[in-house]
Amino acid sequence: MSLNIHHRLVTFFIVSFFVIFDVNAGSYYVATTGSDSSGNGSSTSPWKTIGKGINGLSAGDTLIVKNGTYYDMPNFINTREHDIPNGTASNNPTIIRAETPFGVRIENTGSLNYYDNPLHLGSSKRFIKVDGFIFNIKNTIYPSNNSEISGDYNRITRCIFRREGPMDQYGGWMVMGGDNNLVEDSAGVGSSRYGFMIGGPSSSSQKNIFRRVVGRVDYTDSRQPKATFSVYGNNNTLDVKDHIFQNCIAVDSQAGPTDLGAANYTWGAWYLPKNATNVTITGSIALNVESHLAGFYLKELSGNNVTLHNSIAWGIRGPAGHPIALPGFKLNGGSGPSLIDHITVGDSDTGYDNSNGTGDVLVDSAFINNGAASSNGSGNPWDIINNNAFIDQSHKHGTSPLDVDSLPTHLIDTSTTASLNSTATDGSHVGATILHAVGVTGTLWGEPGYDQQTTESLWPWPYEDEIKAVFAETNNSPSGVTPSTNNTRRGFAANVDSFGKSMTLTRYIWQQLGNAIPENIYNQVEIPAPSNVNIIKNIQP
Amino acid sequence: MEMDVQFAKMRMCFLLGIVAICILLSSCTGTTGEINTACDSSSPVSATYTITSDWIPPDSSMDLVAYKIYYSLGPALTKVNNLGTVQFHPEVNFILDPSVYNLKKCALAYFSLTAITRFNGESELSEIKTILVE
Repeated sequence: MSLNIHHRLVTFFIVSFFVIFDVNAGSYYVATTGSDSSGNGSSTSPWKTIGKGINGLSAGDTLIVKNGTYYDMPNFINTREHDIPNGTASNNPTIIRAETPFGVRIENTGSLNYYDNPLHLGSSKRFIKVDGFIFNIKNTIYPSNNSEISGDYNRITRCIFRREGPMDQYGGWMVMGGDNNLVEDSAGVGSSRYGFMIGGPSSSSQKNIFRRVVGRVDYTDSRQPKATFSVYGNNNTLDVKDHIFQNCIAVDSQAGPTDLGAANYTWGAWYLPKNATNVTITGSIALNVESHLAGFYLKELSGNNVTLHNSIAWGIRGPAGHPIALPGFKLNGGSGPSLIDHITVGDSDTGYDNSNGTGDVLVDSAFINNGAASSNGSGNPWDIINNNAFIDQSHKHGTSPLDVDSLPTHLIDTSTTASLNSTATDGSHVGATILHAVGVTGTLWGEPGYDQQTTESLWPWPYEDEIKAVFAETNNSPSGVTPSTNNTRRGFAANVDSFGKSMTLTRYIWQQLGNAIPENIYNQVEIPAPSNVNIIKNIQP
Repeated sequence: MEMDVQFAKMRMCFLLGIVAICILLSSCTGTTGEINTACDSSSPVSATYTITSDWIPPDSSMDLVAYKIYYSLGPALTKVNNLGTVQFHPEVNFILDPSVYNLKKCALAYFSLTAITRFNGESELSEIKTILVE
C-alpha cells in the first residue's frame, strides 16, 4: 500500500509540473485594430502585425490572430523575417492560429521577392503549428510558392493556399522539404505548376503526411511537368521516401500548355517523378481532372514501393483533341514493386497503363465504363493481377476477373453493388469505399494512429463551405496562360446541384453517378450506444 | 495581459485541485484491476464467453456495420483509456477467449461496446460489463 501512495505522490508531482509548465505558455493577440507601439499583446490591447506578435513569442506560446485581412511582409508568417521560437515537443508546439478557422487572410499588395513566402518555416524550425489561415498571392511572379516548409515536426492545419495571376514556372501552393510534417484539413487553388509538392531533385525529405487536403489547379503558363499533388523523388537516390496522402482530393483541375510536348504536359492529378519511394496514397480521389498523361502517375524512374490503396480515379481525360488516351493510373520506369488495390477507375479513357518492369500487384479493383481496355507495356509487369471487376466485359483480363452487374449507387461506395461485395481477395468489397477518415487527426508520422483507418465519418467534408467560398472567388486567366478561361464556379464550386440543393464538395462526389446523397449525411443524428449488453460464460463441452 | 495571467493562475489551481481529487478518488476505489486472491491464478484460462448486444437505429437509413469492444482491467474504461479493441460483425455473437487478448486468469476485466455505422461513425460506449476471468 505504501508503495501505492508513493506512486501516487510521484504522479502528483509529475502532473503538477506539467500543469505549471502549461501555465507558463502564454497567449498573445494580434488584431487589425491593434497597435505595435502601444499594444501589449493582450486580448484587449493587441498588437497590429503578425510579425510583431511572432517576435513576442517564447517556445510553446500561442499567437492568436483576430479575424481580418493582413497585408504584406510585416504580416507574413515567414521565419526569414520573423523568427518563430521552436516548440519543445509534438505536444507542446508554438502555435500561430487564426481566431476562427479560415477567418484570417494574409495576402500581398504588390510584387514580392523570391523569398517572400507568406508562409515559410525554415530548415531549423520544429514543433510549430500554423492553423486557420488563407494565404493568398496575387499578381506577382515570385515567390515560387505560397508556402515553404523546410523544417521538421510542424503542423499546417485548416489553411487554404490561393494563387492568382502570372507566376514563376516552378511555382505552386506549397513545397515541403522537411521531415515528419503534417498538412491537414487544408486546400490549394488557382494558378500552379505542382500545387502541393514534397521533395525535390536533391532532397531527402521523409515521413510527411497530407491528410484531407483538396487541390484544384485553375491555369498556368509553366512549361514544366505539372500536377495537383507531387512527390518529387531525388534524382539520384531513394532518399525522398515515406510519405502518405490520406483522404486527399484533386478535383476539377485544368491542364496547362502542351506546346513543348511531353516535357510540359500536365502529368496527372498525382505525379511521383524521379525516384519517389515508399509513397502511399490512400482513401484519395482524382475526380474530373484534366490531364495529359494519367490520373495517378505513380512511377517515373526507379521509385520503389508505391501504393495506391482504396482510391478513386474518375473522369480522367485530356483536353479536347489531346492525342493520348488517359488511364486512371500509370506506372512507368524499370524497377521497384507497386501495390494497387481496391481502386475504382471509371468514366476515363482507359483503366491503367503499366509500362513498369516486373513486381507489381493489382487486386480487388473496379474498372467501370472506361473508353478502352487497359494496356501493359512489353512483357507482363503484373506479378499478381487478381479479382478485378469490369463493366464492359471486353475489358476483362487477369486471374479471376469479375463482372459488375450494375453501377454502384454512389461513386464513393462500391460495397452497395452486390457483385462487388465480398468478392475481393481479402473477402471485402472490390473497388474503393471511402467513408471514414484515415489517420487520427493531428498525428504526425509514427504517433499512435497516424496511419490507421478510423471510424470517424469523413462526410460531410470538413470545412467544405469555407473551401468552396475561396475556390469560387473570381480568378480570371491572365494573358498567356492555359486554359485561357477559368470559370471558378465549375464543378463542386457551382451554386446548386442537379437536385436543386446548394452544391457542396460532399454532394458533388457522392452524386457523380446520378443518385441523390443519402439524407443522413447532412442530417446526422446522435448514434445510440448498444443496449442490453450481455457477457455469458460458455458451458464447457 | 494581467487578466490573462490571473486566469492562468486560476486555471492552474483548478487543475491541481482536479488532480488531487482524482488521486484521492482512485485511492478509495482501487482501479488497477488486481487479481482476485480467492481465485487460483496458477492455472491457465479455461473459459470462453459470448458477448451479445442490441442496437436500435434512430432512423431507418442508419446502417450498423460492426460492434466494437473496448476492454480494460479497470472501471475507468474510455475510448482512449483501454487495453485494446476488437470489432465483430453485428449478425454474429462474439466468442471471447480472454487468453487471446492477454487477459490473465482471475483478472477482473471490464468491457464496453460501441456501434459503428456505415455513414455516421461510432456511437458512445455502452454500459460497462465485467467478468472474472476463469
